[in-house]
Amino acid sequence: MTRYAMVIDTKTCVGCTDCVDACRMENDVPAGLCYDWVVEATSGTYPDLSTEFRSERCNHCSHPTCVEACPTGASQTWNASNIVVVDATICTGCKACIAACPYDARLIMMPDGYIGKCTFCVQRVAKGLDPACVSVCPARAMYFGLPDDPGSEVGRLLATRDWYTLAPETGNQPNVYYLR
Amino acid sequence: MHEELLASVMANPSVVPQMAIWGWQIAVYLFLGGFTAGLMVFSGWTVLSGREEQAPFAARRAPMVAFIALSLGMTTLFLDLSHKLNVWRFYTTLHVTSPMSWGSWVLVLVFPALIVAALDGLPLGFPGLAARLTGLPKLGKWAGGLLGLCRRLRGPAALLNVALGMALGIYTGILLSSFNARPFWHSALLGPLFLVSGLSTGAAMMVLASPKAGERHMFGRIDLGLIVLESAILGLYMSDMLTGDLVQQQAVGFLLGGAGARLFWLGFVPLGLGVPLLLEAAMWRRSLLIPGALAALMVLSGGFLLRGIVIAGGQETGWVTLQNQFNPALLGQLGAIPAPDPRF
Repeated sequence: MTRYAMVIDTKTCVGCTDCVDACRMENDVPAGLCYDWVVEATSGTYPDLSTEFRSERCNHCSHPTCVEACPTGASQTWNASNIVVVDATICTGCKACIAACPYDARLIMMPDGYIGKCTFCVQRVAKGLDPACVSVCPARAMYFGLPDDPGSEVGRLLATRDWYTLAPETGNQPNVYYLR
Repeated sequence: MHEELLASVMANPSVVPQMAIWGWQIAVYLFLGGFTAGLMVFSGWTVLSGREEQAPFAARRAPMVAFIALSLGMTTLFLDLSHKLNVWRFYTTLHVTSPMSWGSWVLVLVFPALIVAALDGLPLGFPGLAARLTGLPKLGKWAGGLLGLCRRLRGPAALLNVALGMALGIYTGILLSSFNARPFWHSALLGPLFLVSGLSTGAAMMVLASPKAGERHMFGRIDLGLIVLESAILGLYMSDMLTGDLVQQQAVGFLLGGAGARLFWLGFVPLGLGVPLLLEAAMWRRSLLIPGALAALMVLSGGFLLRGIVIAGGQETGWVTLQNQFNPALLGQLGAIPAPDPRF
């Protein structure tokens, strides 16, 4: 399986939400919905507080419970990779995938009644391009690539920097990494 | 202190401010599915064990009631689908990791077994209807032949009704318990709980509708045992959750002081378990018509309440809690903003 990952540097992310807007433009996300979002996480005790921004989206898990729960096979992985996509022509809108996602990232009920989600901009990845959110990040805080290739930028970052993923204890093996 | 706020808008009514994907349609389906399962198991059992004379309602009429109930349940299930035109896609694959896929195939198998049992019971259970069918010009002969065929198939059909009824009853719970993303559902005890609750509502239907005192008495006693078993499984479920990991402990808080506590402790526990248990126990030696019917009605409404509470509980609990600063209600006020003055 080719494993794609997104690496986001919380040290340089300024929380501008440009990634969210780029996603809307690239994927024609219906008004009032979104495929990605930015979380502002503050920890500590006043006055010793620290804040980090996290650009969040589908984690394109290596163990995708949404794909397992889908009764029709509409939720599937793209091209023998970990990128989870939905085939709208098979989706019945049963919403099992929404319930199956521990990150609440299988979000969108499209106006037509099928499920929409972040696809890591698979249409761009197929051409060798970065997802739209990564390519527009003005703080250059986002990276995309093959983490299992030690020569890749994401591979190098994961090998040299301290990182975490969201709720790894779910067992879903998420592939969006946050550098701290 | 650790606080997580949304810096951008997480605009999605399916999950914000709280997951809201399955409503009354699914609760009704899960209830009617369990109810059908109970009717199938007991009607099959009465035929297989030669209790047809002792329990005529269960043997002859219950399959027809089950057929109608399951048809209604599948209708509400269909209503819940948001892409209804693709419903046939359930039957182009068997996705082995998806309990929902298994369930959709179980439903396909249930119907033939149920129809054979319902038609087999028709001549004695609903003689007027059977006479009208066989008396039809031209078609009557075919109808008579069909009823005869179902009569010959009654043994295997009864066996299938028991087996498929168990599968149908337990699958509705397994469907929910397979979602590890929803801690409130993530207990293997949910399958047995829904199965026993379904059997209990099936037995209650026999108590409610049987014209024969002996049958009402027998199923009243069976239901008493099932209510005890259901209470025990509920207790095990609670202890399973309370001794589980943090997300499970937090999830069961939904019943212990959380949003579902009132309906559970003041609604389901006394009405669905406690009072019917006492009534059935009081009628251990002799069945009484009115208290029996009352207990049965309570068990039936308790079965529905349980499904509603569990459906809501799963959607209230999860791994992620984000505070959303975005108030979608304010969007509606956008139109109320006066247009800028053209003079400026």
